[in-house]
Amino acid sequence: MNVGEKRLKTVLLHLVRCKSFICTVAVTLVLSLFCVIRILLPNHTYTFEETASNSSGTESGGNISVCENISLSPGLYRIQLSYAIDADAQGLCFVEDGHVYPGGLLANYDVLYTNLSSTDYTIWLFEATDTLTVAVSLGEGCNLVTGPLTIVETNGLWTMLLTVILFCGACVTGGIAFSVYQRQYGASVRAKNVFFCMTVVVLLSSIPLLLDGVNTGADLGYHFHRIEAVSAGLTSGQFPTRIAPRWPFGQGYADPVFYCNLLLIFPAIFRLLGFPLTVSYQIFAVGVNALTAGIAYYSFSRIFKDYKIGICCSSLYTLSIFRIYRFIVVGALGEGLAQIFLPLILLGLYEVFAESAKEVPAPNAWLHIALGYAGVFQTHVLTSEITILITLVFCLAYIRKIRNKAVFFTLLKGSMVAVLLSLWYLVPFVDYYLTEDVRIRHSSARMIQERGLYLGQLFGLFNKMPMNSVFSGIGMANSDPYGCSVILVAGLVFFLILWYSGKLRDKSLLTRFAKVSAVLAAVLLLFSLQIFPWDRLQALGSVPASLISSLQVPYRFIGWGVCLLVAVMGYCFAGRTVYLGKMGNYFVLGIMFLAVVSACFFMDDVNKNKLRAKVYNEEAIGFGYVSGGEYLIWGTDEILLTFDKPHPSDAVTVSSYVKNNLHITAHCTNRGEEQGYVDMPLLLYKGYQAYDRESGEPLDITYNSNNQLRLLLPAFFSGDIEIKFVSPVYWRAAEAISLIMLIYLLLYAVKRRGRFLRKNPAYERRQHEGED
Amino acid sequence: MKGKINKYSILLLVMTVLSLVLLVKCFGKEELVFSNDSEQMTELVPGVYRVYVRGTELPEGGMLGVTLTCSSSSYKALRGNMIAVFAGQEETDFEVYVLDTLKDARLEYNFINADAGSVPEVSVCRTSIGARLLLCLLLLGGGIICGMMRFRDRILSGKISGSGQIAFWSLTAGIFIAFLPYLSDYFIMGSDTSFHLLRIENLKEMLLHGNHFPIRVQDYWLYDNGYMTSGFYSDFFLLFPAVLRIIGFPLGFVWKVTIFLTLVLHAVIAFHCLHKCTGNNYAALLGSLCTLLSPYNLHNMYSRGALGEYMAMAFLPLMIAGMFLLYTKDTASSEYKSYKWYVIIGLSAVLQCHLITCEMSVIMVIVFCLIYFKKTFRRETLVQLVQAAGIILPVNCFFWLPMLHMMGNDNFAFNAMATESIQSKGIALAHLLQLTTNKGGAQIGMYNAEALQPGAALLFALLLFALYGFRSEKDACRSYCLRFFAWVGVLLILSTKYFPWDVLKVIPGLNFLTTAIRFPYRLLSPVIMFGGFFLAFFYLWAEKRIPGWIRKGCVAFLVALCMIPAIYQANDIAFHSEAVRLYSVENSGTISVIHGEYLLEGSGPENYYYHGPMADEIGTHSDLRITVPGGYSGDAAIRYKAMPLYLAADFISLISILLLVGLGVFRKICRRKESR
Repeated sequence: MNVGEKRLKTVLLHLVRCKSFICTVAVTLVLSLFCVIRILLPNHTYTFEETASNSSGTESGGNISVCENISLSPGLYRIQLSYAIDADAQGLCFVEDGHVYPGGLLANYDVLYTNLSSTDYTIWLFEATDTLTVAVSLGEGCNLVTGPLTIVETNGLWTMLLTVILFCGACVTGGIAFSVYQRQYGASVRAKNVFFCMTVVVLLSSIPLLLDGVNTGADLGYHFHRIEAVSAGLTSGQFPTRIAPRWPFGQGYADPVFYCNLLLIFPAIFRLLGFPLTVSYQIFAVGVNALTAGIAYYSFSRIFKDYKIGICCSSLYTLSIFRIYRFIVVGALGEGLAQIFLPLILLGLYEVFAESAKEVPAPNAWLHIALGYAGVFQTHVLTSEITILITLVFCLAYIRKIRNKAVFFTLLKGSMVAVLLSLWYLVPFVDYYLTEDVRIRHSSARMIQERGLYLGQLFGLFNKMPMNSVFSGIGMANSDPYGCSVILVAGLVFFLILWYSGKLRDKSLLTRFAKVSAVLAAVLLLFSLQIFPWDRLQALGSVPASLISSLQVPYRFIGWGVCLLVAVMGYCFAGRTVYLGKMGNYFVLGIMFLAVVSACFFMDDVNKNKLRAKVYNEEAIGFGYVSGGEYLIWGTDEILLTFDKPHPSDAVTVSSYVKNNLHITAHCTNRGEEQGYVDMPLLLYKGYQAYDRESGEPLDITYNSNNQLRLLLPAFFSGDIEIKFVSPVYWRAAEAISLIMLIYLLLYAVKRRGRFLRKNPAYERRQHEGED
Repeated sequence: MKGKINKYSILLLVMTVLSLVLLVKCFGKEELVFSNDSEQMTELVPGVYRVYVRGTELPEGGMLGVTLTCSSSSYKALRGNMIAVFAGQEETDFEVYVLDTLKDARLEYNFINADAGSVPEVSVCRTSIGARLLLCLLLLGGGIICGMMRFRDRILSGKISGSGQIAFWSLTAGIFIAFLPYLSDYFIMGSDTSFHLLRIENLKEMLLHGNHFPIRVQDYWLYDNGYMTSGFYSDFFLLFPAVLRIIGFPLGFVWKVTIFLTLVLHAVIAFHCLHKCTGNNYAALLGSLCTLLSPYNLHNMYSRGALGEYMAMAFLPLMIAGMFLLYTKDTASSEYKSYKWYVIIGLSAVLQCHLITCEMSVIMVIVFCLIYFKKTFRRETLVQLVQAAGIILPVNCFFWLPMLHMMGNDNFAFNAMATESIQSKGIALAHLLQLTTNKGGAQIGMYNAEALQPGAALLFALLLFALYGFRSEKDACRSYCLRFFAWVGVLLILSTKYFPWDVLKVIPGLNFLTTAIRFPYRLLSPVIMFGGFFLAFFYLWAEKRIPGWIRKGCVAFLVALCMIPAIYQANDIAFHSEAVRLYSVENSGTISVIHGEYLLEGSGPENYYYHGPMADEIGTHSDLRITVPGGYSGDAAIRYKAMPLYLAADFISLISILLLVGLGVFRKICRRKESR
C-alpha cells in the first residue's frame, strides 16, 4: 500500500468517527431520499377546458387571458396550450403571477406558429400559488383560437434539488474530510496556496456569471441553441447528436457535425436535470473558468518547475481581458473552450522540444499533446487551424530536434492519439465537408483585413464596456477590448529588451523556448493588426483566400498570442532576481496587481452597462437564428424555413403524420400513375433514410427547391412510411475507435501512475508534503 | 571587431543602393495619367497622385465635393479625402495616396447648391512623391536600425550603465504610453488642432510659393485673404513639419510625427536637464517620467491640441536647469560659463513656441532673480545673465521686434481678449485630487472634467516631503527640495480659481500681466516642470533619509502613481475620441482661426486688412483699399512686403546666429589645437 492509500484509509477511519461528517451524510441522504421518493411518485396533469379566441376585425393586438387563478404547488411544469393561429410569430403564450415572490416564477414564453397545434414549454415555480395566469399576447390582425390547456408536472424541480443537495453535501463532506486530513497530516503550504489562489482567480473571472441572467453577448444565442440541441438529441435518442433536432424550426441543422459539442454535454445534462438554460450555462461557464485556471496552473508550473509561477501565469491567463471578453461577454463559447487546452499544448511542445538536453522528451509529453490537440479539435475549428500553424512554427524552430527519433515519434504518437480521440468528430466533419455543398465552402470571398486591430488596442489596460466591433471607420472609439493588454505586452517588451541587451545569452533550453515563444507571440500580434496585408494574401489564390477567409477576423490570433505572452511573462518571473535583483518581487507583485485591477475594472464596467437576459428555455430565443448559416446547404433560403407540415404533390395524400424531432412516420398514398412526392419539413443532409414500414424497402429521397427532404413515392404506392436520421456505419466505427482510445488512455494513466509510484515511493511522500 | 564592421557595412551598402535607386525617381516630373471630363478612370498603380480640378463655375453659395474612389481594392489601398471647391475658387489640387493597384478607380462629384451638369476639368497626375516618401522612410529606418545596432554594441561593451539602460527604456516606454492614442492610422482633433494644421499647411504653401521669408503673413487663410499668424506665433518649429509636407507626407501623418518628436524632445530635454542638476540617473528618470506623463501634458496634446504650449513645455526644463546651475554651481569651475546656454536655448525656444509661456517664463526669471538677488548681483552670475540676455535678444530679433512693432501700431483682437476676467477659469481643488483623469471636454462643474492636474505622483511626493522633509536634517538636497517645493506650491495656488485674479486685475500696471495668460491653469506648465525638479531632488533626499525597503516602496509607488493614471488617461482618450483621417487640407476650409486673435480689432474673420507699405487705407470691412488716382490706367500688383525695420531685425538675427556659430567653431578648433 503506498503513502496515499495509507493516508486515505486513516482519514476514512477518522471520518466515520466524526460527528459532523456523520450528520452531514445523514442529512444529505435523508434529503436525497426525499427527492428520490418524490421523483418516483406519479406527477400530476392539470387540464383546463377554457377556450379563448380573437377574431380579426376587433381591435388590434393585446393580451388574451386563457386561464386565470390556476393553483399549483412548487415544481416544474410543461405548459401545453392547444391553439390555432393564422399567422406565424404573431402571438406568444406566456405565464404570469403577480403574487409569488420575485424569482418565485421563472417563465419566458412560447411563440405561436400556424403549423403547430400546441405550445410546449417549461416554467419553474418555487412558491405555491393560486393566481397563476396563462395568457396569449397577439399582434395586429391575426386570428387565434385556443383549445384546452394542459399543465403537466415534471420531475425537474426534484432532480434539480437532488443535484443541489448532493453537490452541497459533497462540498461540506469534502471540507470536513480536508479538516480531518489537516489535523492528521497537515496539508502542504503549496497545496493550500494553490487551492486558495485558484479559487480566488476562478471567482474573480466568474464575476459577470454570478448575477441573475447572462450578458447579451452576440454569440450567446447561437451557443444556447447548441446546448439545447445536445439536450434534445439526448432525449430523442441521438447520441452523439449529429443533427440538431429542433433547429431551425424543427428542420434539423447539421451544426453538431461541423461544430463539435462534446463539452456541451455538461450544460445539456444540467438542462435535463431541470436547470433553466441560463443557470445551466452559468454553472458550465464557471466550470470552464475553473478548468482553464487548473490546466493553466498545471501546465505553467510544470514548464517553470515552480508552483508560484504556475499560480501567477494561471492568473494572468485566466484573467486576461481577451479571454474574459470573448468567452464571458460576447459568449464565444467555442473559442473559450478551446482556450482551456492551449497551455496544455504549450506544455507538450515544451516537454518535447525543450525539457531535456538528452534529446529524450518527458514520458508524458505525448499525452499532453494528445489531450491538448484533441481538446482544441473538439471545441473550435478555427483555433485548431491556428494551433496547427503554431505547431509547424515550433517544429521549424526546432528542426534539428525533429530529426531525433525519440522526439519525432513522441510528436507522432501524440498527434495520432489526438486524431484517434477526435475521430468520432473528424470523420463526420470531413465526410460532410467533402460531400455536402454547405455554405461554409463558399466563404472565400470574405475579406478580413478591415476587422484587424489598431496597434493602440494592444495596449489597453482600463477597458470599458464596448459598443464598436468594426474599427476601420470609427477607429478605437468605444472599441471591443480585443487586445492582450499592456501588462502582457510589457512582459514581451521587457523580455525583448533583455534579449537585445545581451542578458539572455545562456544556452539553456528554457531560454531558447522563451525566445521562440516571444518571437511567435510578436508575430501573432502583428497578424492581428490592420496593417498586416491579409487582403493581398487572399488575392494570391483560392486556397489562401479560403483559409484566410475562414478565420473571419484577424484577432483570432490573440488567443494563442495571450498564451505565449503568458509563457514569456512566466520566464521573466522565473528570472526576476537575476534581472531585477531585489526589485524582482515588486515587479511580480505589481504585474499581478495590475492584472487583477484591470480584469475587475473591465468586469465591473460590463456588469454596470451590459444588458442582461434571463433565458430559461429555447423557446424564448426562438428556433430560427442560425447566425451566418454556415452549415446550411448552399442555396437554402432560411427565410422560407419555418415550422411546417408535409407538402404532397397532386396525387398524393398524407395521413397519420407524426413528427418527433427528426423521426417522421406517416401514411402516404399515391393515386397517380406517375411517381409522386411529399416534401417533408427536414433539411436534407446525408444520413436520412426513408422506408416502407411494412416491407422494409427503402424509399428514394431527394432535395426540393429549398434543399429540404423530398420523399419520392412510386405510382400507386400506399402504406406507412418512416423517415429517420441514421449515422453511417463508418461514423459509428469512428466513435468506437475514439471510445476505445479514451478507455486506453484512462487505463494507461492509472497503470502508469501506479508503476511510477512503486518505483519512486519517496516521490509520493514529497508530493503530499508539498515539496514537488 | 571585423564582424561588427561587416554588419554596418552591409547595412550601409544596402541603404546606399536603395537610396540611389529612389533618389533618381525623386526628381521625376509629374506624369499625366488621365485628363478629360468624364467619370471613367483606368487602373492606378501604387503611388501618390495629384488631382487638379479646374474650370469650376459654381454659383454663389455653391460647393463641389470631389473625391477619388474605388469599389474593389485591398483594405485602405486608396487614402484620400473628399475636397471642397467653393464658389469663386477657380482651381485647386489635392493629393491621393494609392498603396495597392486600383482596378476601377474613378472620380465622384458631389454638387451642393449647384447644377450637377457642370463637371469641371480634371487631370490626374502621378507624382514622384511616392519615391520621396520611400526614400525618407528608408533613411529613417536605416538610421533607426543603425542606431539600435550601435546602442547595442555600447551596451555589450559596458559603456552604458545599467541605470542608463533603465532610464532609456523607461523613457521610451513613457513616450509610447503618451503616444498610445496615435498608434493608429488616424489622429484626434483637439480644440486647436485645426488651427495648427492650417498653420503647417499654409507655411508649406508659403515656403513653396510665397514671396517673403521669414513669413509674416500667410496668404491662404480666410479664403485667401491672408492672416498674420506667423507674425505673432512663430513658425520656427513648424518648419520641420512643413518640410515633411513639402516632401509629400500626408497631413495627418505629419501631425502625428510632430507630436511624437515633441514627446521625444520633452523626454530627452527633461532627463538631460535633471541629470545635469542631480548627477543621478534614477532621480532624473523619476522627474522626467512624471513630467512626460503628467495629465495636463496629455490633455494639452490631445484634448486641447495646444501644440505651441506643449512644445514650449518641452523647453522649460532648460530654462529652469540653466538658472539652477548658474545660481548653485561653483562660479570658478570651467563649466560655469556654459550654463548660460541652457537659459539662452530654453528661453529662445520657448519664445519661438508660445508667447504666453514665454511671458510666464520671463516673469518667473525676473522673480527668481529678485528673490535670489544676492547671487544675481554676484559678478560672475550677473555677467552670465547679461550675456544670456544679450544673446537671446538679437538672435530672436527677427520675431519679437516686428511683433512688438505691430502690436504698438494697431489694435488686434487679442488686446480685447487679454482684458477678460480669468479667475473663473482657474482649477478647482477637485481637479487636483483626480487620480484617474478622463479625456474631458466642455465641462460643467466637474462633469466631463478636463485633466487639469499636474500629476498624482508629484502631489504625493509633495505631501510626503511636507510631512517628513521639513523636519529632516538640513542639507543641500533638502534645501533644493524646499525651494522647488515653494515654487510648485506658489504656482499651483496661482493656477487655481481661489487666487484673486479679478481683484488684481483692477490694480493699475498689473492688468495686462494678470489677464494675458487668459487661463490660470496655464501655470500648470511651470508647476509640472518645477515639479519634475522637485521629484528629482526628492529622490536624492529620500536616498539619504529613508531606510532601504521603505524608500524602494515609496519610489515604486510614485512610479506606479505616475504610470497607471497616465495609461488610464491615454486609454480613455484613445477609446473615446473620434477618428480623423486627413491627407490634405483642402476640405478643412481656411477659417479655423479659433478666436481670431490676430485679426484687427473690430473686424471679423471674413475680411480684414493689415498694415503694410503698399496699402495706405483701410476699407469698409477692414479690406485693403488702394486709392486709384484720377485718370490712372495700368496694371496694379499688390503684395506683402516687410518694412525696413523688419528687414533690419532679420539681418540682426542672421548676423547674431552666424557670429555665434562662427565663434563656436573657432573655439572648438582652438580647443583641438590645445589638446594636441
